[in-house]
Amino acid sequence: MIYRSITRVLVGLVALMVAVFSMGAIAWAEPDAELTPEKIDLIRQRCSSLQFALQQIEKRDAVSRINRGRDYDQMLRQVSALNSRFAYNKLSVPDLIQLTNDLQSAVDRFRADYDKYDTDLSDAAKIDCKTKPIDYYTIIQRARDDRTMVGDQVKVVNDLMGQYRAAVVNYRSAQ
Amino acid sequence: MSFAAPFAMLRRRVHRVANGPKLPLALTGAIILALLLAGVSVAWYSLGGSSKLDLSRPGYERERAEVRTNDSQKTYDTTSPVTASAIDDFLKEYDGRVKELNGYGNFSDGALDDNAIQLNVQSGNSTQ
Repeated sequence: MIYRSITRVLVGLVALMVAVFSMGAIAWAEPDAELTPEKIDLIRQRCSSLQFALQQIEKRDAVSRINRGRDYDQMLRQVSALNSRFAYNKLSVPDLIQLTNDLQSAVDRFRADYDKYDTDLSDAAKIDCKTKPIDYYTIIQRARDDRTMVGDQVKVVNDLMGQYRAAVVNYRSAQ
Repeated sequence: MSFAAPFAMLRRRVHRVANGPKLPLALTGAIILALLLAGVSVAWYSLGGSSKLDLSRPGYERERAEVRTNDSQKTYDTTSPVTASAIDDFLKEYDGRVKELNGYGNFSDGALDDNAIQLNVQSGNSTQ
């Protein structure tokens, strides 16, 4: 009787482990779900032009990153100066200070996300897409996701800049 | 065979170099130090992320022209009273910057989508 119970528990555990590992396998297989044999052939055929296209995207994005980075820096200096001016005149502006902190964090995150995305593109450039098309496509997918994250962060910064402007306009109206 | 002989020979050689002309020693030291510092700099440049944004490399001539270079480090008044006109000046510059930022790429254009890089199986086949 005891042996039967133990056997049942063991069988249950094994079934649970199989189920968990199967879910894991499904989760791992998911990124390659779009990768059909036709697409693998296409990657092999268009390997050189794909590498060239990624190189062009990387160059174009580097320009956007540099220009944005400089403007963000200048904007942060400008808003910090305005906050200091309020403080010097003994005016309390907690919302502006909080928004400035949020802006700084968002800009830092934008930089970190871009670094990650750029590393993906560099990784893709190192892979021979003729011999390793699956690895190549996996990295392209990763780069795509990371680029989306950079884009999302740009939206966050834009949104915070809008909030800061609205708060400053409120202080102006109150004067 | 004992270890004393080679060890004594090494000691004699070190003694000879130490008591000999100092110029070759100094030059070797300087070269080693220079190589070490160059190695540290290159590692810093590569690992620190600067290399990713360095458009001075060959092949980036067109991109270099697109980077804004007229940015001067502007200083701002932090001690004058906060007046309506001061806030208006702030908003004028701030809005100009927002306009500039809207002119740059925002990384949301789907440039890496399959269609954009012509990895769509149907469009890819049609171009073959």
